[in-house]
Amino acid sequence: MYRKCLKMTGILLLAALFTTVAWSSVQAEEPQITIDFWVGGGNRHIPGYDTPNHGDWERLLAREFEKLHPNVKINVEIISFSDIEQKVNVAVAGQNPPDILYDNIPNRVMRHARNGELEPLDAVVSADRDDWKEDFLAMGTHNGVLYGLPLSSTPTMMFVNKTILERKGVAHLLPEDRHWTWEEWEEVMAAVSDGRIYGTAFHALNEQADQLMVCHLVGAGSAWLSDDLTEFVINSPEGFEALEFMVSLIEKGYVAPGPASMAPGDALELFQQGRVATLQYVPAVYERVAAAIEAGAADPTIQLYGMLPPTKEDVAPRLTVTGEEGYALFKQDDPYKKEICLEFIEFLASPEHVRLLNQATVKIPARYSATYEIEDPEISTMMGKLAEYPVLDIGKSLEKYADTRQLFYPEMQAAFLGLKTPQEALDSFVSKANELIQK
Amino acid sequence: MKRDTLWGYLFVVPNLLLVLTFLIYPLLQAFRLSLFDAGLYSQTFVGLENYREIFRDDVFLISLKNTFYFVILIVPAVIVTALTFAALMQGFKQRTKAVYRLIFYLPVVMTPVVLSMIWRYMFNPSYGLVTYFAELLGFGMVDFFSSQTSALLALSFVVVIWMLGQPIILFLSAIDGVPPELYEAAKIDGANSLQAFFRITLPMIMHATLLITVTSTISVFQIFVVIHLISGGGPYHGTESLVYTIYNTAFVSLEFGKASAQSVVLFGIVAVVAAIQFRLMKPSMN
Amino acid sequence: MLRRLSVVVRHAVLLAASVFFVFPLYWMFSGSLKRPIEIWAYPPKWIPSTLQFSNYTHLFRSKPVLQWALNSIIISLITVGLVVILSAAAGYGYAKKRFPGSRLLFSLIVATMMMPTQVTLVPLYKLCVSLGLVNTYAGVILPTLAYPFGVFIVRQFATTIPDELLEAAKIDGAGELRTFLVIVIPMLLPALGALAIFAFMHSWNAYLWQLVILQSESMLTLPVGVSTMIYEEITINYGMAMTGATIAAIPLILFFLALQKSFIQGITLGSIKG
Repeated sequence: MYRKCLKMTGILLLAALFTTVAWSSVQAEEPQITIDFWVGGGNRHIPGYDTPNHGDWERLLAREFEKLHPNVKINVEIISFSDIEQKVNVAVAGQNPPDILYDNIPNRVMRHARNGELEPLDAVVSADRDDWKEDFLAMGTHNGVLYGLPLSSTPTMMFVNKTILERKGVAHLLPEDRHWTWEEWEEVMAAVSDGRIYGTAFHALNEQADQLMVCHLVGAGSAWLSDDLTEFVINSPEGFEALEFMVSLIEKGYVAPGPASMAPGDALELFQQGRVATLQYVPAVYERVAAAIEAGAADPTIQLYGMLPPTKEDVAPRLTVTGEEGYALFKQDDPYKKEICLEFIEFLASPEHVRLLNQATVKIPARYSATYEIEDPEISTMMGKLAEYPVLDIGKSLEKYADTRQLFYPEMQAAFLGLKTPQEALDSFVSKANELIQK
Repeated sequence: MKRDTLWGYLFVVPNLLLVLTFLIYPLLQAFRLSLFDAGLYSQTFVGLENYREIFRDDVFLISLKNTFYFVILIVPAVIVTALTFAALMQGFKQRTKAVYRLIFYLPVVMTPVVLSMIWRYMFNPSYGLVTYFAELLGFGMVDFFSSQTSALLALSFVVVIWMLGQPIILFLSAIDGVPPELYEAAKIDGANSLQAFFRITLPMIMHATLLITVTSTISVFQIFVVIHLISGGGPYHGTESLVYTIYNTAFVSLEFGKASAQSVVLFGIVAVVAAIQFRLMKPSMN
Repeated sequence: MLRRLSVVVRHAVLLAASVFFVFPLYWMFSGSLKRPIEIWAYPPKWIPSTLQFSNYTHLFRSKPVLQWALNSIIISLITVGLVVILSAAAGYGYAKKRFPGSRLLFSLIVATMMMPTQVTLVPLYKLCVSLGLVNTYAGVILPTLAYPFGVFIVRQFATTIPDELLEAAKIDGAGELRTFLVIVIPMLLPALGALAIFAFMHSWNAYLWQLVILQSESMLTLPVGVSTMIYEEITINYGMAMTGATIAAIPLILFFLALQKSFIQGITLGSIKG
């Protein structure tokens, strides 16, 4: 009896020992991880999901990932697009950056990459690398290593509010080939501008959406940068001509007042209120205007007609590109956490997720398998048209690209206000910018 | 230690500790940083090079000039207006004064972010109220931000409105603190209310006036949110103040060393201006 | 007769000026109740055609507004309480106590009044990171506690306290602390009342610092939280912004009204004392 008890106790003790060891080793394999995920702007209105607000999509995906990995907690912070750059910079300066960042890759994330703050992301795309478009990956690559994974990009185009043209009796001037020369564009603007409604809007308050203005400036055929990207060359005769053209439009009253202090959002708002007939912007406006009308925040009579950017006669349009948001991972000390983070990024960047995101924002996906159907014939025609035209390299791969943007908009302000002639403005920009990138 | 000395320190030390930790120490760090070329990731010692560079920078010089314009436009306007309003309220019931006090303090109550947004909206040439009233008066569409001068004036106006509440409170309480006997005596001497105001009230409230002058000046040197959100420093740097330039240099250009140098210059200027104001008004303080 | 006219004229001037102060508040409030498209109407719509409360419901549902309000209130109340106590003590100390270095230290405090927040933003942030204060109430409160303006106000006011009163108390055998609490503080009340209002505003409106030190949405203060809504999209959502701003303004107005009463009492007390 005694021996039996001893045996039982021994077995129980051994069992307890084993269980403890097994249990603690399982625990050791699955420690609690908290990931700080900062989202610049964030996405909404993802088809098939309940995502009414910006950032709901990222939050939803974080929750899904948490379900797959119960030991992982993801703190999602949705920070506005205009605030996040500074927030991240302050955090980095305080040696307290987030773990995963979703923001514009070439303009913002790559700065941190060049300074060695980020983890390589090659592991994330290694499995299906040929599904990723090379020029997208190139955007996030520095010294041959991938640091930023963009999911999309979006070209600039011009929107026309057909209703305004119809009201002014010039709807017949809308071209089938979706392209106006400067003369044709000016003719329409002259017809619609009446002091209450304007032909178009320019904006130069800050560096946001400056690609839209750049697109106008190359409309006479000028190059923006030299082919080898070592110097800015927009202060060419064609560049002057383009800026002179823009300034003349302002003088004739075809442009919404206050371009020097207008933000791109203000211009878009004017367009949404039916006060501006044509506006250079990105395809996402299709979705945006529809949502705004539904929310009772925009003029319900707006009919959108998409066009290529207007150019001088005989000059082929070139598109500028923006919206290259994607993911980056800041340097990690814990290898297990790093592994989980990479897995999370891979999850976020799955073909399905990339497709849905691009579909919602009418952007061009970074993955071949993420192509989506566009139901609206107007939008699908326009996207098809845009795909036929080349993209202008405005130097996003340059180390000091972001700093040159800060030099650009003040010169545009000066030109719009008449404080400098177009020549002076462009010369000033070019000399300062070249000094910067050649340092 | 004498009792007075010991208790003197005891009373003063808690506040002093906070000031040393959260104001002085970071300030000293900023001084130190001004001698470095400091980016987000690295720092190299450059001595006084930053200072040389900023004085060669056009934008910095423009913003210096703008800052002085702001001070010259806003501070006298605030003092004179606040004093006038407080004086106009003399003789009103306390309850009436309280109502006006609240009214003039309202802009402070709305967060500066929203106040700026609303004024930006009102100045908008396409749909703002300013344009609306200008058109009603026959002027046509008006855009205050199409020229640097009018932009400065428009922003100064908004700032004055924003800053008026606090001085009015202070002036009201200071004027209330003047002993009524003095006025009685003046009336007996045959002085009318205007003379009484200039000969009695003004001198008696000198300490409040000094306080308001100094703090208003300091505040004007510090305005940021209003500029950032209404004009973005434009048009073409026309409303860019020193603080705004510092912010840009630090958080947009990420040149922390240079920004620190600019801050040191700003600090120096404010200190000098405040010292001058103290000096000018000190004799009349007794 | 002339006197009455003068009163009418004075009210007229003050009321005319008041328009510039009250109107933005009205515009903000009416904007929060308008249908979005009415905000852009030109000529402007002075009165909303229908009262829409959907902005408010949407705001409360999508954002932790009450949490933001709570954060702001807790932070500001704690700050005010501590600032008043610390400034009262320090101001009294500099005004009435003689100790070596008092003039130097006071000038130092006055000097720091002139410091713009941008100057110390990054060093202060680094300091708070190393102290583990990021994204905490303490991180917001501590830097704003060192409110040199408060010390300045109290000190100036405290110099008007008659020394005889303090001597009398000493002779009566009152300890330092007792003298401070029972005699000095009541005499300082008008200044403390004004200080409380200013300190509250300073703390509530410390936008830039709050933006930097607070990371998660649930920790944001009301002004910062409201501003995040403004720039959520590239087009400014004025309707939501005005709604948030209206909500954000209410606690401040209430606080100001509450303190105004005791403030007036303090003044009357002060002027009777003469």
